[in-house]
Amino acid sequence: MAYQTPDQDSSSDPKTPTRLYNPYKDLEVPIRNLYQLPTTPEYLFVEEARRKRRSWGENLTFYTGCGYLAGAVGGAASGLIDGVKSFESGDTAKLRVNRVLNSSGHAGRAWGNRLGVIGLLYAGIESGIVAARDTDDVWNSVAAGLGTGALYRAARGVRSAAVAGAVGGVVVGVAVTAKQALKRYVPI
Amino acid sequence: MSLGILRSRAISLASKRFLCTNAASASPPLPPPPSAASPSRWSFLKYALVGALTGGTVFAGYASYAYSLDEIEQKTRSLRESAKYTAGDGVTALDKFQGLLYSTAMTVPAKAVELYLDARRVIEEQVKSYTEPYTDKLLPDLLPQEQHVFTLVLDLNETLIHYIWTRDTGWQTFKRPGVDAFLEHLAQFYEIVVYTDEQNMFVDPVIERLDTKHCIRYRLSRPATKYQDGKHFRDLSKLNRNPGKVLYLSGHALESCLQPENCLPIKAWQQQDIDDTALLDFIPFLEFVARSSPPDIRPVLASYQGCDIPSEFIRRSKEHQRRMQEQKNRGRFWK
Repeated sequence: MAYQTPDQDSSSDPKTPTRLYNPYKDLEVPIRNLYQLPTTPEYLFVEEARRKRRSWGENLTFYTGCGYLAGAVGGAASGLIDGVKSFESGDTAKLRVNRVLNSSGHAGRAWGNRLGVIGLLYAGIESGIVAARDTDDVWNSVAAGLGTGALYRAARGVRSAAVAGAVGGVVVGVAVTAKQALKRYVPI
Repeated sequence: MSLGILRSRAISLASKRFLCTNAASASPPLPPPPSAASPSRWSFLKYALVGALTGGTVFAGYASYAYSLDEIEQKTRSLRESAKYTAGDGVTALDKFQGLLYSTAMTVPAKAVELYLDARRVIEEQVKSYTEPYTDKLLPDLLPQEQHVFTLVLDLNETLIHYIWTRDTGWQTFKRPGVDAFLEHLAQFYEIVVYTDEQNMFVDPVIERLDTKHCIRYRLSRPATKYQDGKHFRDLSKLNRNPGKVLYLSGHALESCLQPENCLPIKAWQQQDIDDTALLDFIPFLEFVARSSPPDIRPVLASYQGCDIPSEFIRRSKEHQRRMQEQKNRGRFWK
């Protein structure tokens, strides 16, 4: 006899593993329908399942890498300008290139390390706050910014740490607000 | 006259002073003391008014709690009619005067009761527009050639789908295993209606994604439910269908429906139960109901009360087949 399998639904994932099931198996009637049942939870909105969030480790790597790269590029540009300004009238081309490379490399490494450390601290503190509060909103980010600034300047004294913490909180608040405004008003 | 008043004041003052000091000589008259009667009189009136208002408020609150609108209207009809006095013929002037006096005295409580009834009627109509379904006919009339068709009313959450929210993944909506085959197979026999207590803006995208073959004819959401005791109940009597041909299938059937005799309880499903086959197990029973088409489904469901309906149906089918087999064997033995 022929098996009448139902048509594969267009919205469901064709790679979903299934098994056959017969609701009439206890009745002595000829088999009419065998139904395919999924063996994993089946999503109604498939695009919901594809959207995923960065874990805390990925967040740490992302912020540290972005911070280091931004600092390195900015520092190198700044070093390039300083190197060009320090040219002297009697220098040869080789000396000028050497001066530019030295200045760019030095400033780039310094600024890259600085922003990389700031990114590392921010990502770690934010992941900790999110895990502690078990919620996800703007205040987590603002508190993480405040903690990052305070921790970064902690060795220089209490007053410097307080000022840096306030600056960090304000900067992160402005950044989060700008991001939300961008998402709402800019048609991307 | 003023001289007389002054003389009496002097006499009273003299006697007072005599009683106090035991002196026999009269004293010269003093200015009159300020009267102390007015403050006590106003204070008494104020307390009486406050007491009357408090008593009226307490009584109105108790009446609102203990009695419904119709009961209060019936109990106070005699009071309100006694305020309208019409003099009959042949009564004496004294009786007419007594009746008029009584109706005048009864006017104030009658007016108060009527005011209370009007206010309560207005408030209850306002509340009813939120708690009752938006119409008495939630579904359009059944087609003439479909008068024999049963109506299968389905719930949504924990019956066909289940949705959760987690911080890592946000909102996730899962389909119950076998829901596509269930809807597609039973749409041949039933008029399928989804009746849920979720909001419209949740129900419409879910059913558009769930029901790609348009097996579900109607969707009813929260405005169609009846809000009672803090919960949203389904009122199957307002579906504009024969109540003997309505089946309500839900994971919380008996506690979310006002007509428990039409309910088919199914196990409530959540997404971690991936071996669930309850929807497909209901297909034999529902198909049998549609094919045999009993005139009233409620005694059939009453006979299944308290059982797991799919397994009980299979057990009864086996019993029936065994009995038919015995009859056939007995007939062959006698031949």
